[in-house]
Amino acid sequence: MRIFPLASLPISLGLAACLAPPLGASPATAARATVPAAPNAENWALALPVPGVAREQAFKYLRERTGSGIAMPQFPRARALGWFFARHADPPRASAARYRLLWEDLLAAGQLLNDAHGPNRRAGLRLSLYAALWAGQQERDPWLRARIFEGFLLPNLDLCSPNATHEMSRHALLERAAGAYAEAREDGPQRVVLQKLAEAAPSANGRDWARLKLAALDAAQHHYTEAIVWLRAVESPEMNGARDWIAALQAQQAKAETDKQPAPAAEAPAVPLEEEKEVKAEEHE
Amino acid sequence: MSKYLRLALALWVALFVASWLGAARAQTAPAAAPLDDVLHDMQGAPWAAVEMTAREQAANNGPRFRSAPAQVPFHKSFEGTFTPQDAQTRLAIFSDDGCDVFIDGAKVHAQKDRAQNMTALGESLHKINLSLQPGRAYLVRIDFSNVIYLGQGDMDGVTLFAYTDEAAPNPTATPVVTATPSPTAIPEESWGKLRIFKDNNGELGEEIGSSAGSGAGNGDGLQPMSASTSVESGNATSVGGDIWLVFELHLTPNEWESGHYSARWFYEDLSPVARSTKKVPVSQMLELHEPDVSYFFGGNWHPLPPDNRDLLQEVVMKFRSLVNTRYLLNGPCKLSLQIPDRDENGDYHYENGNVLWKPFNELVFYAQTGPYTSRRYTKLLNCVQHLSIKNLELTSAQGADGNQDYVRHDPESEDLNLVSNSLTFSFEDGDHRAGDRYDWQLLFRETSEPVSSPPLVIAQGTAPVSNGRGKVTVEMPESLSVAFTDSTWCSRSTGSTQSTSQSITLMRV
Repeated sequence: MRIFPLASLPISLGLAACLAPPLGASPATAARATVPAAPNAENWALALPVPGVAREQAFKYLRERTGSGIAMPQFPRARALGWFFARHADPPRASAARYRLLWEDLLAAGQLLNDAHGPNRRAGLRLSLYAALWAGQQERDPWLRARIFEGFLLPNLDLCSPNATHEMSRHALLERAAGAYAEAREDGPQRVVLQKLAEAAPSANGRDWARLKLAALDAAQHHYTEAIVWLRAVESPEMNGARDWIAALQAQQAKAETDKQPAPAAEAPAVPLEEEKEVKAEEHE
Repeated sequence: MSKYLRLALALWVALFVASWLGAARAQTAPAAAPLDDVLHDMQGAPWAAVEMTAREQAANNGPRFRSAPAQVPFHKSFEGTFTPQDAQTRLAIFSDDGCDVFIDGAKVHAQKDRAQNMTALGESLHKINLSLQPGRAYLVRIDFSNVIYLGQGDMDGVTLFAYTDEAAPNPTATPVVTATPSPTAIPEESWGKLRIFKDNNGELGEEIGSSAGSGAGNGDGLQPMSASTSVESGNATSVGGDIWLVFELHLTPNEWESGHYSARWFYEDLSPVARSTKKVPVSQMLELHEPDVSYFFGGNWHPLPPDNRDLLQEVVMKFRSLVNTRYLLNGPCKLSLQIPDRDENGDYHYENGNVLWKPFNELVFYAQTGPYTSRRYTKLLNCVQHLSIKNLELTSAQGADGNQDYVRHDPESEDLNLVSNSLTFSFEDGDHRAGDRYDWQLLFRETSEPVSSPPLVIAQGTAPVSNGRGKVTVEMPESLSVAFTDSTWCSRSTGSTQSTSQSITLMRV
């Protein structure tokens, strides 16, 4: 059961706002005053107004799924990832118990992310990522997966690895966020993240992947012109099949326009206009 | 035939040959894309994380390098170096529709053109069972092909995963600080009197590398740099996770002030490829110890100060700190030492209630997780008298009509004293349909107790076969680097089985 069916609306608005550089201090920034701000001018995620909301939504949802409260788990900070996989290696059968595990994961992740120590915060980011994957794959709960991305991962992109090949690099996390939104069928935030990737992914292959996803979104909504624009921007030779897709979309577009145009016979007025009547009368005379 | 016709024919043939040669040249030297395009670095995460990520890529995002929508067949190669962080690092390959993987020229995975389906992880996700030496740069090449495209929605591409196999032994996780100063080192005169000593099981140990430089206490801190191992008995998986760094601060009696001394360090990565531009306060990850102060007078060291300071020849303060090696990356690094800022009267300076620190000294060094000080190396080399070569594995990759089970190998010697650098073995294929050539690989597998490592390809080639019989002479490498646990060599000398881990380089004797 989705208890927040309208959640994606404010989220998409907030996400769109946060993808621009921050304009000033926000309540979210003030609330995180204990965490040293990263000296990163591109740290736009700190201005994100949504993460607190998404976290609250996730925790409220987990409380309802498990039907009880929970205490802060004891976990080894230096080996938080090992702690995660050890507990999930043999998960309990009851759904409520499995959600309780996820709840503990997210409490631990939140605690690590609020730590003043950089490595601990990075460990919290990684723990959040695998909690999100677990929610999507094992619990088949794409809504929760998207909320974890929104509440835990996207606000902390300043912790990402500068190494582009690392799984915790910024663009890799954004790609996974886009996948999470796609799975949750939240097109608004998915589009915002994909547009960011189409502009700024480090590799042409990554930019083109985002363009293809955007084209698919537009094509699904019958916005063929926009979809074709995305496809024409594809630059990778390994995605040269996009040309065939353009042709297919153009054919669909032509068909749609033909279907829109009413038949000429139907457009002809059934009753002759007054002017025509007069002309015909003159001809008779 | 008229001469014009013959001329035209000759011209046509020449043009055809020229175009064919050009095409052949283009085919033999395809440009390889950088390995970073396919590498998904998950070091620190276990195999379960790789499976989750692969499942996610198959369902949502596609692999790291995508080749869809594509006009098939599509071929692409990727090449570059990969440097594992520790001995537990492993590689895995994930692709649709298959690829070949070469490491240092040896083919370690052959699934190209197999049309494997990405969503079936049993087909598409493969571990590459090779133990890698930490700190060493491996040349990795991936030949990828996309042979089937099923239209929109079909995902094709390839990902190379690097992950951590926690069950694997981790004998070489301890970085050893070598005495190679960075080219961008600070001027020698400002190096001051900071030295690093080896720590031996919690006690101050020998100074490694001191013979290469000038004597102790002369204020030249260039040569004596080392880090030692830590011992966490009873837990083999965590061995090598931490090291002790020991710093000695040498002061003249006039510089020395009695009282409390404290210090803290900052670690900075000086790699030109900035892995982290932030200065990490090492003190946050260190277990700081009060300095042990010793005094040199009368030809000996004494733990307590003499009443008369004039007797002092030198004051040495020893700071010991536990460092997690994960923060010491391969490459040029800098350790900065800071001491509390005090005025002439010895009073501390404060700001917002906190003691102010001032930089005292810094040390630029080159850290690496690889081979090893000459002293330790020599000590271990003496233990290796011969190399026992067993379990030769012969695979028939070419002439695949023959079943591998039919191939018998017959090494002329199974237990070689390493006096010759070649190894000869013959083989016979009982399959009548045997091909005329066989690809062979010589794999090295460390089989000492308690664990054996995955095989390491040390030589490979192609041998001609006549009537199902062939003979191969392998030139053994001059040196063979392989990771061993302590028990391998300690059992020969003392019989003990320490949980400490070391690495050695085997050489022919």
